Amino acid sequence: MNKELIELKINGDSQEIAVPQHRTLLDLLREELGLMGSKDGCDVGECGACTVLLDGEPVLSCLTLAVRCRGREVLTIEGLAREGKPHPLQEAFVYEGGVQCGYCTPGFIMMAKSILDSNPDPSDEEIRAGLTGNLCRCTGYVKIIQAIKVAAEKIRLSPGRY
Amino acid sequence: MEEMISVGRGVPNVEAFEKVMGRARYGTDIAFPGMLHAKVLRSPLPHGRISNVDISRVRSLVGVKAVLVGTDTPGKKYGELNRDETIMAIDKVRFMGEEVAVVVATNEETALEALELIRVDYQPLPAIFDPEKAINPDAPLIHDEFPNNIAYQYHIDRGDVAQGWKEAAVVAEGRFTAASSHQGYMEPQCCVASYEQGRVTVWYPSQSPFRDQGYIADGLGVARDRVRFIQTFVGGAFGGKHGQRLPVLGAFVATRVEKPVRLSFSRDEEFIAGRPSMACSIYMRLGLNREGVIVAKEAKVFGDNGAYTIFSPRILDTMTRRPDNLYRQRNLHNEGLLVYTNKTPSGAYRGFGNPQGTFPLESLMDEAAHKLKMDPLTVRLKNATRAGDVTVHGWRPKSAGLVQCLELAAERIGWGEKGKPKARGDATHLLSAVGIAGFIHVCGRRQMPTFYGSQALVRVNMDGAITVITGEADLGQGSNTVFAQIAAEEMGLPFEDVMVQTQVDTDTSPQGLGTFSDRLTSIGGNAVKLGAADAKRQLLNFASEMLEAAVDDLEIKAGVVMVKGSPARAVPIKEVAGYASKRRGGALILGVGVYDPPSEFPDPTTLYGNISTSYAMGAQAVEVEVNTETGEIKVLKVVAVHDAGKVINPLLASGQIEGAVAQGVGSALLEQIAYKKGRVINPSLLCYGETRIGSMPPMEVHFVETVEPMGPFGAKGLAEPAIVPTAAAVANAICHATGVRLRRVPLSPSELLSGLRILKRES
Amino acid sequence: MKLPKFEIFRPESLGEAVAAFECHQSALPLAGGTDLLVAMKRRLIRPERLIDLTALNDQLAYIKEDAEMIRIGALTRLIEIERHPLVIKRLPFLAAAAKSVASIQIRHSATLGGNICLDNRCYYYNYGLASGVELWEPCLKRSGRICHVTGKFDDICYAVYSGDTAPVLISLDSHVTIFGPRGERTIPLLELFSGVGQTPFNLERGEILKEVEIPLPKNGTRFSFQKFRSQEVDFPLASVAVSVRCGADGVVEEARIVLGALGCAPFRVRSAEDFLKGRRPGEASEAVVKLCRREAQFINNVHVAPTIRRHVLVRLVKTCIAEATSNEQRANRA
Repeated sequence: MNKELIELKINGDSQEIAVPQHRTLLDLLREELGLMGSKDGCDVGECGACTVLLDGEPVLSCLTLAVRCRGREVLTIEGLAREGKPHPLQEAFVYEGGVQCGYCTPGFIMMAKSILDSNPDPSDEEIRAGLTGNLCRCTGYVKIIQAIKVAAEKIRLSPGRY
Repeated sequence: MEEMISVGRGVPNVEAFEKVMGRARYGTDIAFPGMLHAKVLRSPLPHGRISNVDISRVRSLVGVKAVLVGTDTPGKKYGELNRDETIMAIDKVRFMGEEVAVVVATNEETALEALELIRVDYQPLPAIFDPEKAINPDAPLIHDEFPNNIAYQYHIDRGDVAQGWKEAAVVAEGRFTAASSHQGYMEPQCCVASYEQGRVTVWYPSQSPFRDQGYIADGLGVARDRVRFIQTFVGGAFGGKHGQRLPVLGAFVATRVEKPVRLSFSRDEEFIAGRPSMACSIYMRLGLNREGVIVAKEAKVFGDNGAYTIFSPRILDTMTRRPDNLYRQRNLHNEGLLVYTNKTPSGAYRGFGNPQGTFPLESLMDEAAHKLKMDPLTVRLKNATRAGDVTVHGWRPKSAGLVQCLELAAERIGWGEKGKPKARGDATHLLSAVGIAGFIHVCGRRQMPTFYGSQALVRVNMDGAITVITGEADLGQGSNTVFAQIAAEEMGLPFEDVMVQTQVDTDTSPQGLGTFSDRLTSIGGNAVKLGAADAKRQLLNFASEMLEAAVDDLEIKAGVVMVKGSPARAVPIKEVAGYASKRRGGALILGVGVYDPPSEFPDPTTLYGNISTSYAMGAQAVEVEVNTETGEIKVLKVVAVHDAGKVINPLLASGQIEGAVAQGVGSALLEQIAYKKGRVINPSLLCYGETRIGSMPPMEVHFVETVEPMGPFGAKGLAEPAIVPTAAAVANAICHATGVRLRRVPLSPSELLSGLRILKRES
Repeated sequence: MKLPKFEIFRPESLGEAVAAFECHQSALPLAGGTDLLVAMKRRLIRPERLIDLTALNDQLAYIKEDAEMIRIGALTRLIEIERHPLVIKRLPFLAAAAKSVASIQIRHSATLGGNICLDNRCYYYNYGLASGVELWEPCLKRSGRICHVTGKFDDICYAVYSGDTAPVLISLDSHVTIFGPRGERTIPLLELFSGVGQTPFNLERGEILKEVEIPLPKNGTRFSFQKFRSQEVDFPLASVAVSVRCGADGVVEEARIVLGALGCAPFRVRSAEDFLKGRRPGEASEAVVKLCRREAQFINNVHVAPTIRRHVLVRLVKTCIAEATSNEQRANRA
């Protein structure tokens, strides 16, 4: 098994890890770094549960090779809260009822962050268009959309903070 | 009535923060140092004898710790009703994908590599995939003990159906079929099992930890207490995460290795070897008299069991019997046949057969109404079950909001104006119309004559907060939150002072049967209420000493015990708890609640009785647009109205309805496990058609709050049934728009086009 | 589903990349990986070595315009194409086609070259192997001898071409530059496609796409792109790309009508294009639809029935013709 030594940043922390070349970023996060928040819902790119931000952009970690993350920054659900305070998206998902079983939730929140990063005041349509790659089986998506709108408003009130 | 402080509030799910922070541990997240990984070799044939298994080449692979085959297992057959299953196939495989061997290795990749080194020789046997053909005497026999491949059958007669047909002014009939759907939970199944000193511990996201403990014990041939079952967070279940083979196999594998072992499903394994919903064909006839009253009904149901049974006889029974109770029927004849086929074993999916059974009945109600030239809504209102009725199968609902649900759904969809097909502007090929359908569901259906209830403990902590401990499983639907609200309400505490022990451990949790049959609020909730009442009584006894007042003169408000009418004479619960503890040498107050619902266990031959203490009801009205050139069907709006008695948590309740309607729309239009020659041809989320955000129609959710005397604070079950009427409502709307009656679920654009062509030819 | 083990080699130049392919028989190029890695997870292909092209991004990921062409490097990600002001302004239907691919997350990895070279699809192939169970005996595309669509041995492979951007690019008369062991060559994009389900591309081992060049559309050319699928994210089950130039009199001077997901390659319906030339679009629409339907192949190997796709194609073609010949060029929607 060929291993490569890579340096990358995960949730703000620099890491140096030896990874097999065929290891996905998802497996690196979950199996080797103990960051279980990103989920495996299908492992073939159809459900979005493994979504993380790579250099600020949303990607499916199940289809991203870990060795390709050398020198890059990864943000996972575990990296969203600041000093223990939940991100407005995390709060809104809780208070608006956007979380039921919660398995899809980290993927949705990371994708939602990406949407809001480039579009701070999205319409319902724009939110729906941004979330096509994420599957939820519990909520029917209704309260997920609502949660994102509520979070968007809170973030707009404190620009630059999140 | 006094204003309630907890019940009726839309408080957020008490487990939600752990989940959004990424800290909740699901089945797939359980890991131990040095943990081993197991992978399964599956049958490439739908039916065959295993003549030889050669594992010699595997042993040499570095990292392999064990290779196990069917003959290594205890070999005894187990099962909930039919004892027809073994942990792995032993002499015969009965569906493509069945477990034949399992490899345990230090990592998953090595295990997968090892699978390729196992050679199995099979003698193929003829296979049978159609349940209606599988009962023929010349069909291949799948289980020797079940002649004609009949896993279960029954028939029941009520009233005088022959006389009923004589009174019928119109008869509507047809053959209706439903394909199999997958529960579609986002977390594929996964268990970790560990064997030490004669006991196996299993971690698995089960919806019924105690029952799964039982299946494992049964499968391994050991006493129950040799199995410790720990429920992890559950990433969705919908009926699919109990009674599965995976945790039984995982437990067995653990007994053969020295370290904890993880056995997981990949997503495609879910489609070929999970337990998807039961496909069926239903022949039904419905007769109405001139006034629109139902006078006769006959149904013959073929349920596709797949290769193994688990709970499927109950699913078949539900499919046939449950929808009958929607209406005031008197004369009927139901026959059900559950038939083995060489396909993936069928299992439970939200609704448990009710969606498949409601589709024909609610379709025929519309057809019969049309024949009578009566409004289908009027016909339903005429026949609808009401509170105080004794239904044709002996159900006795004390609360019944069906009539109000139908009326409200119709009103909100614009029933009066939209019954006739309407074109979208100039586009005459785009026609829209509305349709409606109702449902009735149990709130925990008694499955055994003995204990069918729930047990709860309510512990008063030293600081005055309480912990609710149940054996019932929260799957994310929010039962733990609702239990907290019930306990808070019962004891007069602020909701924030209630904690819930969130995961069931069969070693320490009180007995709970699990989440199925929509039983948690009604049964689990009542147990919690009783436990809270017990804790409250004990608190008041101590408080009466502290306040020197009679117990009857005391009440608890906002966490403070006070003398009624003299609020100055008060003591906070924290102090009472401390006092009680001192008085009893340090013991905490522990309230115990045991609730066994006073429902009836029906006679197995008549299947007649009040099987649940209360019944949820509701209706969905939909507006649908059809493209008559391409057959495409689009749901424009859904109005879902639900009678769940008192709604304990509107936020969580509406979330349940929204999720169930999404699955209803999915089953109606998008989703099916498609088989060809007994093989699943679409084992992936993408081509299975799991419902995506863009496919969700706008929805309105309403509650009709009846008062259910048997439920905690008047509540009934909620989480299951909004999936039940959707397909029928959509089919009814399509018929209003085009005149074409679709009888297959998922509703098919090709069939719609054929139907339109036939109508055109006839006119 | 774990990936099988493999090695990665990361060339720093095109020349190194080509040499790397020559050294390894079973090496495949890795661009975005969103299709390749899935096929590997399903064990449909098992290359021992992947040639990671990311180091070539500086050279091969760009969108630029010169006097006559718009040039897009083959490693340009789809997300860049859908958002690029130049593409949105000049070739909005290319932006629409790029945007219609899969999900946003996938488009942040997937490349134009990868989408053009998307492997053909058929559910007996893509889902023939599930968790080690051969649901379907290896078919022609898996180096077997049978096609499960027809049930015949040694017949044609009916795996369908399922890329979204190629039909649009073909309707623009695009060319593609290919770099390989024998150097560079530039061919009309249409000629890249072999029409053979098992091996859909006329590429030799070691050849990779370098650039797509799109001639700037002549004044008055209008476009439309329509895609049909049963839900978002899904591959196309039928797609149509049309470019039309009408004269001042409203008569068609030049037309391209390209169908996707309706055969083993994207193809121009030349009979329909010829019919349209010299006529007014409104009058020709019905005939054009018939000609498209006749040439399209509706294979029963995807999850929407052929009948439905046949009817949907009518709508797609009509919509495209109408949009591409309307007085205002509206923004295209997939």
